[in-house]
Amino acid sequence: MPIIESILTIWGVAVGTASAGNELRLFLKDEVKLDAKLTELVSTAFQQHIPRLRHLCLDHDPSFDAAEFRRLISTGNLNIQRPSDLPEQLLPMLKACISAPTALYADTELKPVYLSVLNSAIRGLWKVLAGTGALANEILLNQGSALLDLSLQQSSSLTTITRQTAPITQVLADIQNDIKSLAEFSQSVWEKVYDKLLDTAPPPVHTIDQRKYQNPFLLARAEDFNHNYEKLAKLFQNLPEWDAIQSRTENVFIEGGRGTGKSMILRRLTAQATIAAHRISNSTCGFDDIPTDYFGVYIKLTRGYYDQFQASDGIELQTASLLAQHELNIEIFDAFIDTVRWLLAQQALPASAGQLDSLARDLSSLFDQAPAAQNLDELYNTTLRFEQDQILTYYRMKAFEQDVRYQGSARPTVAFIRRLSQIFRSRFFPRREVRLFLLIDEFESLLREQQVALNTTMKMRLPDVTLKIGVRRSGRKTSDTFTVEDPIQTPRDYTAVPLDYDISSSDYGNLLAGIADKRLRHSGYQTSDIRSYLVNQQYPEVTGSDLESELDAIWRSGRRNEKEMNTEFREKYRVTAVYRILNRKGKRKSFAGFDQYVTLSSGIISNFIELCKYAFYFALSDELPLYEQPSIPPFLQTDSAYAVSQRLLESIDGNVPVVGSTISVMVTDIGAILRARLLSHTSEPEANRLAVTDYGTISAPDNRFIALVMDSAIVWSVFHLEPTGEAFLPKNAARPPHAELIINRVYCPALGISPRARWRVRLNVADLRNLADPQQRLAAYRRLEKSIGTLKEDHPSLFDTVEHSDD
Amino acid sequence: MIEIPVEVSAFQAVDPESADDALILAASWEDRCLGLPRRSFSYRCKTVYMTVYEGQNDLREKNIRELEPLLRGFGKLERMPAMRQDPLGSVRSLIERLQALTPNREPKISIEISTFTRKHLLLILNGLDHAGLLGNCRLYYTEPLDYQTHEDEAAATGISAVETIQTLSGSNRPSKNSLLIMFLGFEGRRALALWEHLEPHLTIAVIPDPPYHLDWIGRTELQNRYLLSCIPPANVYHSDALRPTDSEELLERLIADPQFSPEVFDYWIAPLGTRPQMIGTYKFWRERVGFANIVYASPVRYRPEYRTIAAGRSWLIENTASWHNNAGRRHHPSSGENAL
Repeated sequence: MPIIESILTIWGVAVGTASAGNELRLFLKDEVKLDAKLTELVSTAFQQHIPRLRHLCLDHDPSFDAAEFRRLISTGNLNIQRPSDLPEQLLPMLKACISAPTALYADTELKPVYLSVLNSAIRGLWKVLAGTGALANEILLNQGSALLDLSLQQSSSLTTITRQTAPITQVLADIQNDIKSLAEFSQSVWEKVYDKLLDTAPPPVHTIDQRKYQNPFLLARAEDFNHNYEKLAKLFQNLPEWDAIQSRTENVFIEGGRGTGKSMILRRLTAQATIAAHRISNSTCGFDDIPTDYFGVYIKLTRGYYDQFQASDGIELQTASLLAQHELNIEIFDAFIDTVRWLLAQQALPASAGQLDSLARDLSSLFDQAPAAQNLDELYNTTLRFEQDQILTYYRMKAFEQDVRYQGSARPTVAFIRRLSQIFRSRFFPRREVRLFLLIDEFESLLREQQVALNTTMKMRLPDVTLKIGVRRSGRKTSDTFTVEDPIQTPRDYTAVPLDYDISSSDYGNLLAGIADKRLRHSGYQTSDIRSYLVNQQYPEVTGSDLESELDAIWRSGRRNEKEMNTEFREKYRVTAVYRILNRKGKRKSFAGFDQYVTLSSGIISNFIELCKYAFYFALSDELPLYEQPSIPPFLQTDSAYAVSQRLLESIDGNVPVVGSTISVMVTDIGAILRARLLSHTSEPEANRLAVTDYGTISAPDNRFIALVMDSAIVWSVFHLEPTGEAFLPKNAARPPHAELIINRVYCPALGISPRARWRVRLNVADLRNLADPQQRLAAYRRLEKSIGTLKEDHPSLFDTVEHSDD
Repeated sequence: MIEIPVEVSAFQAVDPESADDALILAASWEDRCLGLPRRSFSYRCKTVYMTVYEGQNDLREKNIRELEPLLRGFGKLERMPAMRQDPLGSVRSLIERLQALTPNREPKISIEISTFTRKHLLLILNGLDHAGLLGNCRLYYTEPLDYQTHEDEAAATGISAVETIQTLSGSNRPSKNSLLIMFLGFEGRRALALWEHLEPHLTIAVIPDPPYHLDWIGRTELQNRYLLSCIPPANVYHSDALRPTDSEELLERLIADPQFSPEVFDYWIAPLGTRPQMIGTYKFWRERVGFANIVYASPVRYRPEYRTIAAGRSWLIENTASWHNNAGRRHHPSSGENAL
């Protein structure tokens, strides 16, 4: 049974159809050109897998006889009932078409490679078949129209025409149903393979032909480096802001959304990573041997831990403030002692036993109520535990209204840090200008009072200490200090370094390429240029004639100043035209190539790493030998872009506390409106740029909920906020009077919109508020899909199906 | 002493010779809240404390209409309003009333734990413990009859916050790695969100095994397949869905294992599994006050349910008289509580 019959048999068995009509057979043969398509897919997959065969051949690369393969699958005999039968049945045909004249091999070595080739090609074939539904519509529409023309030529009577065409119309409808059914079945087969990959997280290592292939992008978060300072030092990529961040005397807020690299920067500033970096070239160096003028102590704050230290019925604000500050002191001290102990253990910090005893005595004086500690270990193991227990016990007993007296050594954070930094300087670097850097991560987790304490420390500009703070956008609850009406201000008290990068900047592209380069080298890849792997789409996604006619349609749909379509117009609307053509054909936009991935990353490093992680995952799961052939086919890059996009979009609900569901719905609504605009607006279709001219009013009391929604959406990088107009005051750090919001571009594939924010659309705070309100959402959506989405009356609306399902 | 857990058809007084002092339970949209009350014809107590959470829910109101006459048959009925996000006020009020109930002796209390929120239940246990009222309690649990994905609350979307439960917090040292022990249930997305929030250095997953019903085998793994694929298989453990002691012992074994040494790790425990497993977690925590943090991811929104969850078998799962060190609060050896 040839391949077309085999595919029809598989479909027939699955859907319970006894036999397919001849029209469907002809459709697959003449329109889909299934024989040729499968041959092309096998040929492409074969080329991708050649490196796995090359080492088995003496002289020449093996070759694939495409014509012979096509002949075999068109005329040969395949015994197939289920999709899983295809690879084994096609294997002898593939073997017969591959020639490797000088090969030294056994069949057992070749079989896995051939199966990889076939599996990849067959998956591609199902995807092609899944896309035939839209193709069938076009063909059948043309056929129906031709039929009508013919009948009209032959007869002038409407009754006669109807009688003549009725049976044919019925046949066309039947074929259409069959094609639709085959397309749906093919989609389900393809999705099963795809879903299986997405059900699990990418593994760190893939085995292909007994060789281990690492996924270089598995280490995505700073936490993944897990105190491995050497690896951190090796993989850290210098960024343009590095000098400003390292400045010895400048307090710095490193601001950025999730995954922008704040933690990596702070960890790289630690004394441990500093030593590890210098020891790459000088394995025994210590702090005395290096010119670094700071000593970084990394303090990772814990999300969700500090709310318990708020004032309550039984605990006054002043007491709660002091104890919350002392909890912060304890954590700073814990990280400090740990750093010192690590450096001493690594012999990177010269200190005699006598010096250490003096140090321990000095440090012990910071906790005057705790049992006196004689050495650093006691401070670490006993003193800190005592102090933390005092606070926790106090709160625990107060919670249950029990009488209790706090007996720890609480003191304000400013005084604590001042004394700690003095001890540090006098005991370790009395004759060198070395500053203690407190590297505080997840600042947004702190209570307001704790943030005020650190703001005050910045304001004081203490001589021996500098604060470098990692914080999410909008994560600073206040600019206040403990001195009334004296907030911290930039540039006097601190420098703000935003890490939400401009995707069009070459610096950003170079940064991402640099990060990828280090990871690829570290994972044993000879080719470390990520651009080699992320190859561009080699063929146009649409035909030249389709593109030209779509551009013409866009040109004619609007009022134009020019008389004729010019190059500028073509360039401006080319992407829109591609989206529209693909939409009609029921196809997805492809996302392949380094530049596309940079755009989708939306200025967030971890988005880029996630995209690369899945591209490598899909390619290695396809058993592509990336060590030998550094190239990931565009369709796999596209699959990974959609997979990452969908996964991140779905995770908004769970990841953003309290308002995640609201944001998830809102971004989906706005996405649907922008998609309607992309597919129908005559002059400004690519409009992922929402200009909110009254953004300042979001701080009004009536807007408390939408303010929370938008602040959270920005903190979690669902939207990027771009302030416009005049600079805004530090007290209102998060909410400028006018703003432009851009949906994080990584969601664009899943939303079906272009990631390019070419044009802006106007929204106001009331629109956002209404979209966030379940009672107002439907009306707001309908209004916006008409005004912004330029929805025509007969166009299906997102809510059409929703309302139907509610019946 | 009876072997527990033991399947029961009705509440049984702590002392067979006399009525209990109190029965504590929560009204719910789930029919589970009716399971034992419907069958406990001869049970008697002085006072029934019925928790009713905030918000309107038609199914819950319907259940309350059936529940109230049944409970009045047991003893004096008192409604205890409570807020899901912040149940501490309700716990304080409960303790105050219990203290007044038997001022000169430890009260005999039966607690039907099935339909309390996890956070609330943990705070009740901790509050009773602090007040020295937990020495003579029986804990009952009624299984859900159906397979369901939201075991303890009405259908919920998103998470409102990931938080260390107030009063059940412990060591938090930035210098240490974080070890998260996740008791997993059927809410895979909630578990994944919690895991992504906490970004632990090391994660241990605990699967309910055996589950309540044999045909539920593999469902927890299915619901949490993505999360589980991120965890090395060696770090996936199992503990009995119904026996609190099994979970307690597992936690004991884990902290004794050198690879999970408390010298290296701060412990965070997320009790997203079964309620009996959560009771086991509490038993572990109270033996080491201040050692581990119990974390919780509250669901953000509760919607009225359209289909209730029927009551399955009921069990007596714990008798607190058998708990170690049961004369009130216990102290971690290094705890500063003694100094207060």
